[in-house]
Amino acid sequence: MTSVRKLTSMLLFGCYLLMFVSQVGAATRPIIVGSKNFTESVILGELVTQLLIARGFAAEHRQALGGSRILWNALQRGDIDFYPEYSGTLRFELLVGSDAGADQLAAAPLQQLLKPFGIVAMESFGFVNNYALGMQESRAQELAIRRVSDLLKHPGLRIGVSNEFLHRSDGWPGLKAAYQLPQDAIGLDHDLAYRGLVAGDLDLIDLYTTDAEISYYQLRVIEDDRGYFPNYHARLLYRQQMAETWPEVLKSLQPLEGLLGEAEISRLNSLNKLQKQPTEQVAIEFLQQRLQIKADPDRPAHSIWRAIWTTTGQQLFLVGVSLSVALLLGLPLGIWAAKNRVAGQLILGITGAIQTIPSLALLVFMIPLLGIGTLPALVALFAYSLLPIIRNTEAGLSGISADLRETAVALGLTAREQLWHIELPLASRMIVAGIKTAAVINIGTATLGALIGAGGYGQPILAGIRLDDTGLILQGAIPAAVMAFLVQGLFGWLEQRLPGAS
Amino acid sequence: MIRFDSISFGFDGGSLFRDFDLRIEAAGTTALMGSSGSGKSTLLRLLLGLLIPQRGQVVFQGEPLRAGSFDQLRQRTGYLIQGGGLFPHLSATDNITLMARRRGWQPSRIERRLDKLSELVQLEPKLLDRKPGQLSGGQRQRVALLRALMLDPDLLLLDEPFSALDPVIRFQLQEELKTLIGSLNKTVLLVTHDVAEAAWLADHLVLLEDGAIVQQGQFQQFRNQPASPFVEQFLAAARPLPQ
Repeated sequence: MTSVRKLTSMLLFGCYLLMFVSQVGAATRPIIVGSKNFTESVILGELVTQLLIARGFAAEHRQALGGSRILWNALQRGDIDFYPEYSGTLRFELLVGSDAGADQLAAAPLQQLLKPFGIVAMESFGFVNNYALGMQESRAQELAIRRVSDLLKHPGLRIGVSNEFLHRSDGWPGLKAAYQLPQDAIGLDHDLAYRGLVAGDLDLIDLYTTDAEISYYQLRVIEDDRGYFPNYHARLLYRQQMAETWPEVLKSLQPLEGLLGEAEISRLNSLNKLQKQPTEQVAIEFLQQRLQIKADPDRPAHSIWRAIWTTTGQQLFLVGVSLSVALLLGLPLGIWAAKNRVAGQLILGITGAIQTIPSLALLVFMIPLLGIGTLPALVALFAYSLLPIIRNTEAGLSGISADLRETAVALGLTAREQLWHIELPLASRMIVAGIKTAAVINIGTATLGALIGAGGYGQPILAGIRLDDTGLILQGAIPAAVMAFLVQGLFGWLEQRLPGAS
Repeated sequence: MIRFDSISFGFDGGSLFRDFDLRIEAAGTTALMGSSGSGKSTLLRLLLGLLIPQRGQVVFQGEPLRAGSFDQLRQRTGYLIQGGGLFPHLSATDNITLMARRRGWQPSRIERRLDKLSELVQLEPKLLDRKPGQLSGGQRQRVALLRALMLDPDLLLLDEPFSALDPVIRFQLQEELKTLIGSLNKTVLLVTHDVAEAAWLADHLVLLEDGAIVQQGQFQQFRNQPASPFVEQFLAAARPLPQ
């Protein structure tokens, strides 16, 4: 049991260390705006961020953080300060299971429902963005589908919907029950669903009614003939405390209320998604036209190199810090594992079990514990880097021949001298190989950190997937590959210069 | 000087030695002979505390050795493990002088000692900068011997110091070692399965079979009064050169 306790305390120490490092980095925190992982949410988030910046506040946009639940929790925890949400999502998804009953959820004023959570919603941005189902016009004609009820006649339809829609109570399960649909749906990324539809791999997908793709691909929006889908007003959420501690921030955001009609937001979605204008540019130009915001002369021109520079810094921070702390703990744990068989099995068992958790799942597990942002990403990466380091340290030390070990004892070296002068140098090649493996895994996994707002190379990759922009994807993927190669080369070179255990 | 007192020991639940007794006299050379697995090397490891007997004790200069006291013995012992046991990550010099440096010898003293010893075993100084992997088998054996001699120990434990050497080098090194032992007045415990080598180097021979002493004494006694057919067999196992 002492080894369990010792191991636990060492792992906790690692987490504290990471917490400390990320706190130092976040001493002066700007206002943080979050958005969900689809175009419209990102544009709304960017509008809020740019307006705040134009009004002289330090603000930062954590783009495309994930689904509604992640942002809702992040807002309540204080990881983010604002994010755009839809009234229907609140009523039929996020607040379900709270004290309010079903009737109340459907009818009571939204502010009243949000109050127990300490959350306030600003007035609507001015448009509704509802769920709908859509098909390619030609396919719809061929099958004579106009209304959702018509789907009953075509049980073989291939249906793909966004992952969130697939599981939401106001999404697919409710729709299937309301119309008694015989089909099953598969879940996929919303932006990829359009590609599947256009390519002919899918017959039917879910739409957001303000999506730019609807007019671009001339899709048929299937009529909701039983009035299943509710209205989704887009509103900006914030914590109640903001009204007390920072009223001027809220005041400066008021012009956004009622600013955007359906046509307007649809146009912005199209500019970003289909004409591939950078999100930042779309937001700034709109604000300049409609709110007469002055262009910031100091604002650096959008440059790929600058963007790569920023994401490289974030990626290096994630990889460097998590790997260093893993090294700091992994080496002693590996030595301990090699010296004590029971502890060794325990340590390798636990770190091995961590390794089997899919990286995406591990990141998401961190959210309820540590929220979103850099810290949970650091902890997850740290946990992932431990195993290769510990295992190779243990294997390197255990692989030293009994002869050499006995010679070291017989010469009269103390245990400490044996470790530092004989065992560690002999195991060093194995250990460095383990660090190399950890570093390469770490660099790859760190790109997923963007999903929980940690930045890094994953950010352009995610944005590229969202905007169907290969160039943007490569802007993250190529530097990540280069970094992995460089690290591999560096450690490989180092390995060649170290003695191997004979 | 050394006494094995009713030692019982076996690997993995087996039993190699049962109530084993042996005395090693100071300032002489004792050769432990026997076939593989007879327990020769195991005796050296028991002596150094690398293995702990299940029963009995090793007595060194009248003091029984215990967990804490092996260090003192090890500090006064030069041990050449079978195969050399050189650390592959250290140069020959670093291998030889490792313990001297850990004990805080002055560099000038280390250098003087190293010069003297390498002259004694005729090892070219330029070879000393090399790692063991860059030395020939014979050179490695000499380096291992130097390491055992470096601290000028009272007791030398040599476990098959000439195994795996080509005959010419083996012959030379045996000569060198004999001169060395003669001039240094040390207690030497030599493990070998070569009767001729044992007879040439040692004044007291011990023949082991399966953890028991079959016969001990001077070579003449072995030849004139073999204690058992195994002794005769063991002595006769060397093939004479054809006429």
